[in-house]
This record gives sequence, C-alpha cells and structure tokens, in this order.
Amino acid sequence: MSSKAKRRVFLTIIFIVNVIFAFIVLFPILYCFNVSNMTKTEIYAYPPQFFARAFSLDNYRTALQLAPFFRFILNSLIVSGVCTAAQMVTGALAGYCFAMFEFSGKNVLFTIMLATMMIPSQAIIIANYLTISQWGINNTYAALVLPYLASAFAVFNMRQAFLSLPRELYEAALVDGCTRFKFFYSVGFPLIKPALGALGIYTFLDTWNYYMWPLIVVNTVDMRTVQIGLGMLQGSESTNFGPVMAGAMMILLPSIIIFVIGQKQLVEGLTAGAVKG
Amino acid sequence: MRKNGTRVLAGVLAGTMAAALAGCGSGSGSSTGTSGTTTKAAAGATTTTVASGASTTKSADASGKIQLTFWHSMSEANGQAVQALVDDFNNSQDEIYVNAEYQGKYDDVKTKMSAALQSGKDQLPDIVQMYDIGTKYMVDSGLVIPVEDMFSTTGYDPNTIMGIVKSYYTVDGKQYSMPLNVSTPMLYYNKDAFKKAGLDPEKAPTTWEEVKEDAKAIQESGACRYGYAQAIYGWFFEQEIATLGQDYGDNENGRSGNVTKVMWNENGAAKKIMDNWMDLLNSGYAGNYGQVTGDTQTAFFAGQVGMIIESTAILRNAINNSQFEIGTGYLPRFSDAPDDGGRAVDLRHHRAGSRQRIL
Repeated sequence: MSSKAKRRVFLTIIFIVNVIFAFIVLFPILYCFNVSNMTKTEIYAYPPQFFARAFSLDNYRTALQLAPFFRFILNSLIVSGVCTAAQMVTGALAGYCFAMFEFSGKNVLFTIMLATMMIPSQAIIIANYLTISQWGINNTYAALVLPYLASAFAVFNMRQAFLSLPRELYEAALVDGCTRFKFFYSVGFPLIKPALGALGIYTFLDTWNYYMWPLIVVNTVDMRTVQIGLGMLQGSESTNFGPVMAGAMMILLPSIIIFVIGQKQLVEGLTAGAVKG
Repeated sequence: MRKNGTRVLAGVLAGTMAAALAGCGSGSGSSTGTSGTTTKAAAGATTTTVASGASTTKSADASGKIQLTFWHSMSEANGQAVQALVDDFNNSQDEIYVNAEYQGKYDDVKTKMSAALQSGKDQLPDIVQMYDIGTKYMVDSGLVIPVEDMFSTTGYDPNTIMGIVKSYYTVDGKQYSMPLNVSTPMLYYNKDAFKKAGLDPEKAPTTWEEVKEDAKAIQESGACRYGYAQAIYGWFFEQEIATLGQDYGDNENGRSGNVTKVMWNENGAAKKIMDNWMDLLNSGYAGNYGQVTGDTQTAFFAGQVGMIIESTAILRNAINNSQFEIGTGYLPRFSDAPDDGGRAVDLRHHRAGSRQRIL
C-alpha cells in the first residue's frame, strides 16, 4: 500500500471513530428530541423505542400551554446576556490590573479573590437574598443579575490571558507614551479576544442554567427563567415526560445557537491557553 | 373504610379538592353550603387582630381590592386545577384578589420560605401551600395563624374535613392548616396481567401474603417480567409503619412534643417491614428499580411489572400512560396487623399538601 492509500485508510478510521463518539455525545439530545415527538404510549412502550413513529408537535403545544416558554427564554436571554457582558468587562479590566500593574497588596487581594471561589454559591444565597430584599428589588431583572455582574473565575481567567502577553510589549508601549487604558483596548484586548470569547460562552451557558437564585429571588411567572420554567412541567409525584422533553428542546435551542456562534472563539481560546499554559 | 375499596379513596380525593375549592372560594358574600361557609375563611382573616395587621400592609390596587399572594407547588394538570379554583374565587367577589404563584416543588417552596422568613414579613406570601412534613416547621416559625382560629369567626364547619386528615394537621390541640391535596399510597395493578395469570382482575390483593401469591402467578404465566415492585422510598416505609399501628417517632409522632428519637427500631416495625420486603425480593417475584419513584412507575406503565405501590396522586398519569387496564386497591397490610384501627393506613399523610395562612 502506498503511503497515500495508508493515509486514506487512517483518515477513514478516524472519521468512523469520530462519528461513533459524536453519536455517544449527542445521544441524550437525539433521544430527548425523539421523546418530545412521541405519544405517551410510545414513551412507555417496551422494549423502549429510540425513534418516534411520526413527527408531532403535540408535546410542544402542551408545554406551551402549561408554561409561557417564550417569555422564559426572553428572560433568560436578558439575564444571561447582561451577566455575560458584565463579567467579560469586569473580568477583563480586573484581570488586566492583576496581570500588568504593580501595587501594594496585589497578591493578598488576588488570593482573597481566589479564595471566594471555594465558597459554594448556595452558602451565600441567603445573604445575597437579604441584601436584595432590603433594597426592595425582589422580582426584578436587577435582582436576577446583580450578584453575577462580576466573578472571581472571570477575573482569574482574564488575568491568565493577559499574563500570556509578553510583558516587554506592555513596558515598551508605556515608554513610548501609551496610556495604560489605551494599551488595554488597542493592544491587549485584540490579543486576548479568543480567551474572552471562551469566557463569554462559558458564562452564558453557566448563567443560563442557574436554578436556585432565580427561584428564590423571583416570584411571578412572567419573571421566571428557563430552568424554573422547565420545573413547572414536572409534577411532584410523577412526570409527564413528553412535554418536559419538548420544553427541554425549546430551552436548549438558544444555548446551542450561542455555542455554534461562539464555537470558533471557544476552541481557539482553549487551545491558546493550553499551549501557552 | 378499607373494605369499600378504591371508590372511597376517590371520594377522599374529591373531598380534599372540595375543601380546597372552599378554601380558595373565600371572601364572597354567599353564606350557604360548604363553599359558602368557607367563603369567609380568608376574608375572615381581616377580622382577627393578627391578620388585620397583615391586610393593612397589603396595598389595595387601583380598583380598591385587597391583593393576597398565594404560593403553591402544583405544576402541570394540578397547577391548572389550582389556578382554576383561584380564578373562580377571584371572579366570585370584588373585595379580594388572590395572586396564585407557582414557586417550584415542595422542597423549593420551603427553601423560599426559609429565605423570606429571614428577611422579614415583607417578602412573605399571605397564603402558602406547604407539604405535610413541613407542618411543624410552619408552626415553629411563629408566623402562621391556625386555620382553626378562623372557624369560629367565619362559621366554617370543621366537620366537613375528614377526621383523620384534620388530626394530622393538628398540633398542640389546634388545626393549623387547611388540607388541599391529600394523597395516600395504594396498590396499582395491571388487570390484563391478572387475567392472563388466571387471577380475578376485579380482586386486588389486600395482604402481603396475597401480593406474593399473585406476583408468583403473574410471573409464572409470563404476563410480566416481575409480579411486584416498589421504589426504595421513605414514604412507603413510613406508611407501612402506620399500617402496623406503630409510631415513627416518639412523643406520639411529635404531636405531644418534639420528636427526640425514632421509634421504629424499638417497636419492631422496621424489622417486620424490611423482612417482608426482603422476602418478596428473595422470592424472585419482585423487582427492584431503585430509589427514583418514576423509574418504578415507568416499568409498570411499560407492562414490565404486574403490581406496584404508589401515591394516589399518579392515578391520572397511570391511566393516561398505560395501554392496559389499571386496577387499584389499598396498600397491602400485614395479616396480623390491627384491623382498621383509627391509625391504620387511612391516616396516611405524608404527601398531603396544606395551605397555611401567614401573618
């Protein structure tokens, strides 16, 4: 066999293996989609069926009757969008300071900030809730986003990104009379864009899936976010899986779109980090 | 009661729904019939001193109505039912407007309550649906008005509430909450499988011995993979203790004081229940689908299991989801258990939701 033919065989094998792994990863979503099209008897049929007999929107209709999903998706888009944008801005600015500036107490400050990552979010929910209640802003978008406008992870992540830039670049720019902020937005920012993009996607998906905080701080149906909306389809005693899966498909769609849009950035950002440490 | 079979159970459910309707239907001017009497229950809150404080803090909207907030855990079909009851009430009079708000599952509501309790009364709902096991928690919060205090001011007839249900929500001699959705575990069986196994499809097994015999017959006829199954679920254990007429905890299950220890290890109830269950599993005629109740339900709906024990609350789902005819019977009992005493199975309580009025 010529080396070219060998290579072709090798690529074919890789391709087949990839398809198999992709199927394993996608299986839950495919199954979720199929179940969302099934009738009740199909869902409970034995042996279990993978494919629905026919494409049907009945479960979607039921889900939309039980809960206003488009409103939930809109709420989640607002909340996740604001949180993501805010964390990218605050993370990039703070990370830039920690990476490039020299000031007394920098390491102590950075360590304290990192230490907050060890506190489980459930532990501070009540304290946050009391603050929000005192301000009288329960059941508002402000209450939903305020605690998540900045995060230690974002700052840490951005600091690492800025540290990967050669320090000489920064010093040379300052010597040439560039201001610190000008360096940030005209030199640093373009260079860390992949890392910032990755952070954005991560933050978006993370806030998209929040459950506890929105549950506690928001009271009315029109302010609910998607995960709680999905919970509205589940019974305390037993669950009707068709509409639940239909709801899951509906709230999955925006996050898949965000991921597809940001995928290039994510992959670039992750590999950039991996190579440079 | 047990002898009357499932029809009585259905009656129990209907009864609690009626109570809910009556409870929700409070405030209107009508004064006849059950719902008429209860009508005043919520409105009557304003006539008691404690509650009037709460109502004055409630801002009346443009139309001059008192706005009340009602937190509940009813989703899906039950959620629509609760909303329908609330709508009926809101349309029945023009003094009070109730905002019914779904706040997540039972545990979620309790979490929200805990948070709201710490931040002061502003964030608290006026009425909350709390699950049965949260009864003591609500009483201990010190912020609830016992519903019994409103009976006298509103002329509501407490005898319309089943005694056994009333007794569950009575702490320190006072009924604290209004039952809304009381459910109990019962036996569900596959009538088609019974027929195939040569059993009488109209006769549900009543004792564990009969369950074992029927399970054997079903399995040997090949009608189902397993004759019987039940989820590993604390509620069933608790309820079976009740069928034995034994206490779960000391101080009369916490009615005469705080529970300081469990009793089922001392009174032999746990051993008896576990031995029986183990015997069923060892016989090979019972399956084990783990701790998630939904998994056992799925196996039953799929025709893999001939009999399961489950909450009365899943009846509608069971009928909708299975392709065979569903039969129901009482939670099987031990043949040597006290017969039908006041505290037998019928006093089951765990899943009962109830509404409580908050200050």
